[in-house]
Amino acid sequence: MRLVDVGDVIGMSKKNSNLTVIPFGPQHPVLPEPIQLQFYVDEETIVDVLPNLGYVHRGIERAMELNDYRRNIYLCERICGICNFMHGMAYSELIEKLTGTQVPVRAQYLRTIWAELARLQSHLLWLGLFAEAIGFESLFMKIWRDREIVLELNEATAGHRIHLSTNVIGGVNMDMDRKLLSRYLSDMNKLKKEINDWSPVFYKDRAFRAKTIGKGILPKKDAIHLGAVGPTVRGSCVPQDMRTLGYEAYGELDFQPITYDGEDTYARALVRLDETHQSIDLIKQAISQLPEGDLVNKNDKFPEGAAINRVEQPRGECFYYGVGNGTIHLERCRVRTPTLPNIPPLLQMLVGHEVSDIPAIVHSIDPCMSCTERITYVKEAE
Amino acid sequence: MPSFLGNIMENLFGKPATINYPVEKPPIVEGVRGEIHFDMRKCDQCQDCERLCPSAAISVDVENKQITWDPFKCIYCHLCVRSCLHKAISAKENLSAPDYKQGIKTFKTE
Amino acid sequence: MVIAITETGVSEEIQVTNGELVAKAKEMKNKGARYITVTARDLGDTLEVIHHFEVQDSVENIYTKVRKGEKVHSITSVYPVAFIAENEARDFFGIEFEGLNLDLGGKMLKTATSPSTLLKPAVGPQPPIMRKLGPCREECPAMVNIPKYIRQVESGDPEGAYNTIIEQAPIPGILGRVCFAPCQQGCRQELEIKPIQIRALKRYAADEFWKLNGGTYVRDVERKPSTGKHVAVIGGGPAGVSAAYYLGMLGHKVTLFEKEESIGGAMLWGIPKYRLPKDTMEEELMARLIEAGVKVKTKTPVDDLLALMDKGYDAAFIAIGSEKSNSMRCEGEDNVGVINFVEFLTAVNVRNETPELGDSVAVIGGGNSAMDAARTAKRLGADEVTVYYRRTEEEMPASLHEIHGAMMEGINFDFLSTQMRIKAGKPLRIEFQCMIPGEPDKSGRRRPLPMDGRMMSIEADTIISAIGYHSMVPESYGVEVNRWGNIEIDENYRTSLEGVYAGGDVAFGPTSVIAAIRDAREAASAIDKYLGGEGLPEPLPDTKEFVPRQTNLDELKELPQVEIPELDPIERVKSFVEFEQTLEKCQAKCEAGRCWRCDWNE
Repeated sequence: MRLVDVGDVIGMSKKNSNLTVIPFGPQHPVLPEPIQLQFYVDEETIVDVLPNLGYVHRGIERAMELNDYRRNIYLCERICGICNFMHGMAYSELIEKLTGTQVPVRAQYLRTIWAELARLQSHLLWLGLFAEAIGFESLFMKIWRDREIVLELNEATAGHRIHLSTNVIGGVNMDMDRKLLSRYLSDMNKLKKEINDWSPVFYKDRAFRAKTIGKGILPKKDAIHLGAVGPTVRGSCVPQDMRTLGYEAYGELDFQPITYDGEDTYARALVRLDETHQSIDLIKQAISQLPEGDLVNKNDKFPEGAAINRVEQPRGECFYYGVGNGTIHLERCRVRTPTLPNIPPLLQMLVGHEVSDIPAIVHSIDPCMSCTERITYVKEAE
Repeated sequence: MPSFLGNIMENLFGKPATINYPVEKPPIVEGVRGEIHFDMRKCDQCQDCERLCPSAAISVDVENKQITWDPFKCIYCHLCVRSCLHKAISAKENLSAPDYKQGIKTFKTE
Repeated sequence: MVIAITETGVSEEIQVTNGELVAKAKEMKNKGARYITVTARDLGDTLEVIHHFEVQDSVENIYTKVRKGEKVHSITSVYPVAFIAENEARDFFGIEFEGLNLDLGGKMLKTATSPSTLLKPAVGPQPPIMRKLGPCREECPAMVNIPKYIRQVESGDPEGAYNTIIEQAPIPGILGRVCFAPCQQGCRQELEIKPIQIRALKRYAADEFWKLNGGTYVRDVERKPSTGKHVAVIGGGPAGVSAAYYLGMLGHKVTLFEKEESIGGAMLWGIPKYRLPKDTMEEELMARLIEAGVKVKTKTPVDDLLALMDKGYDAAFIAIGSEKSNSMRCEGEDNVGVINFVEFLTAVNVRNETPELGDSVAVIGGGNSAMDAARTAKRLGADEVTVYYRRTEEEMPASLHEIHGAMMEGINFDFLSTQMRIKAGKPLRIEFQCMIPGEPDKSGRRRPLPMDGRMMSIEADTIISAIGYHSMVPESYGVEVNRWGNIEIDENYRTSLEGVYAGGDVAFGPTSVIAAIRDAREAASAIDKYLGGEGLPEPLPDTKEFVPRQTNLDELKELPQVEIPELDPIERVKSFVEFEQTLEKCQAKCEAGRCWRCDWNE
């Protein structure tokens, strides 16, 4: 079903009273975050889907204009609870571009290490939830217990399991000594062993493959045309990865974007599983190459002008656009998170499948709704 | 099933992964971000902490030399601890809630 | 329009109109661009809509401006996936899109009372506190921008520092020698007993500027274009000269009337030459008046104000000061040999006389004028000078600097003694009642009570009374006067006559030089508004200035406070040479570097 025709289809669905409407969400056991999709089904086959967003409003984009530009780091970190470090990092990089400061090399490597740790933690969370969506509940528990290794590592680094809050404008504010770095290496080895223990389920299990191969097809041309990002598009054989732009220390690390050409849910799951291995490798590489140096290079003027920054979050490309006017407040800060452009491909993927396939397919784009909704919350004055 | 057998044996005969809170407490890692405490003898009411707090949880009363801190607005980022130039704010390492009901805490010079 | 900085350099600025938007989008599609998102900005009465595209590895933006209410062409016919971002922009900013392929009817983002546009301010975290002025600046009556000029002295820019001070107080060289410096008491480092020596830095800036400027205080500044209005300023003291300077710089034609031979007012007769050399004072005051184009008429007392106004002046400012000494209220006050400090200091400072005082002098009083009188008497050759005050040492209103200087020069002090009777003769005999401190009165100081039966009898050749002074406004001015003899004014410094303003000692009673300058600046602003102008700018914190915070307080706390060089006390009483000297360059820079920058803005 092409999206260009979707206007006609909507009209048709509303007129045709033989179609049943099934509301999926906003609360559903398989969803990590609330989204409502209205399915128009004809017996068991999905004919049409309508999205309904807007359940997680907070006041973030408007609040970023009222706060001063340093406090905004903490606000940006709390846009999402899973990919939080990368939001903070993307915002700091944006302000560094607007003020023209250069981050020292050691700080770049430390940021890379923590960003890969965040990606690792996010993919493990997704793998657990996906396993549960398919029906493997003990696997879900086991994967989340392995995720605890990463969270305890976060706590040892910065004192908090989720929000590291180590970014500042111009660098980082916490250092890692030898003892901590050797703990990182030993924990990464332990994690790699654990992942190798249960990943054969994803590669070889018959029930898993039956539920995911051939479901949620997104052809390569449609993936590019519909503007999908992240593992959604990498599962359709398009090597699009923002880390190849070379921000922070990625320009000096050796890696390739992972692609699979299955174009279905199975391919997307394998992309994420392989990315966990890639993240562990990147962390080990970065630790071995860690140079000495300063941690912070403070800025010496207010943000002025306009700048664009893109980072690769676990779910895809995150886009920041900021405008400053030479005072302590930013004039506009726009955040476009990766789940928003992944929704049109989702609407396309679902049409033609059966109702029982819905959880796995919806889950395969990794929806993170709290990232998506940051718009103003309006409270009418009494 | 056979690939999961090692894990099943380990889980069946090992000890539980969870701890019996609140009878047992989890081990506190060094550097955990907990509650903050203001030492009013060193404070000279410069209001730097009030300006830097991201969630506006600190309020300084300059005339009466008092500081009020709202533990439920605080996000425990410890920016105030790092930026107080007289080192009047110190951090405790605890994982429990700072209070049992919503309210603010006031710190005065005795 | 701004050009955005991206990872790969700077992105292009492509401005299109609303009608060309779809054609431009087709062009991007042919290039193979991927659509990222749309951003909208609220610019008052227009909205700016920016579409972001990714072309190969870099980002290109297309900017469009529309008026509010105008429909924007949607690019969903070219890029169908734009419908989500455009629906979001529509719910956020209320932009109507024409040709949207999937219109979610304004219900995409649910709000508490939907549908409504979301341009109202959010209920969220409070805005940050405004940049602070700094406790020193808040204590200064004239709100001089102290932190800024301390930074300018530190970075080696005395001319900038001099100009910064003149914006709020036009006589930095004089203030650097005589101001009682309330700013130093407000400094945050006062708790460590090491406040920044702000007055010394001000004097350093003025002296350095004088040297760099070729030995003159006259600056090369432009006045505003002439307004054609005439203003009369009566009185050539600190308030009069400052008001004349500000009004002249705003473009008015000012004439200054002074009854003595030279200008200066209370700075001329009241402050001795060892604190403020008269040629320095005259040079700086004349420099300001020359810059402002003021016509000065000395030896011209003004007796009839209304006749003066009829001569063609549009407004007037009265700043005649206070010159009547308070009476000691004791018997025998009018005997020969008893003089009040106003007569005494005027004779010495204005007419350069050297009256014969005899060997022993008694000074009654505890303020700065008593210190001035005592130290002047010592320099005129009296062997023994004693100051008698009716309360204790801690309660003396004179500044500590003066008391300390007087003690070093060998002046004696006698506390808790009130004058009762003076008997004529050569030498004079004065009887004192000894007092003990009792309950505090409403000013907070303890009220002295007589100690029964204890009297003291002293012989002195000359007695100088320095108990205070008050204003005396001539009846012929026709302005309303309150019960203390000061002119009655409202909060805009207006008197009961139309177009006549007043300020300084004559309106508030004797205060200080810096308070008179504050009155002059505010009154000049009010006079300018009365004559149709805009007034002077208010001293608000500048939000665009970037001042980094001082974070190495531990190192700064180790540095000592600079000592202001003074002449030796035994030598300096032999003449009226200036006893305080200016700082060296390295001393000034070091002292300015100790500032904690309470007005940081980063």
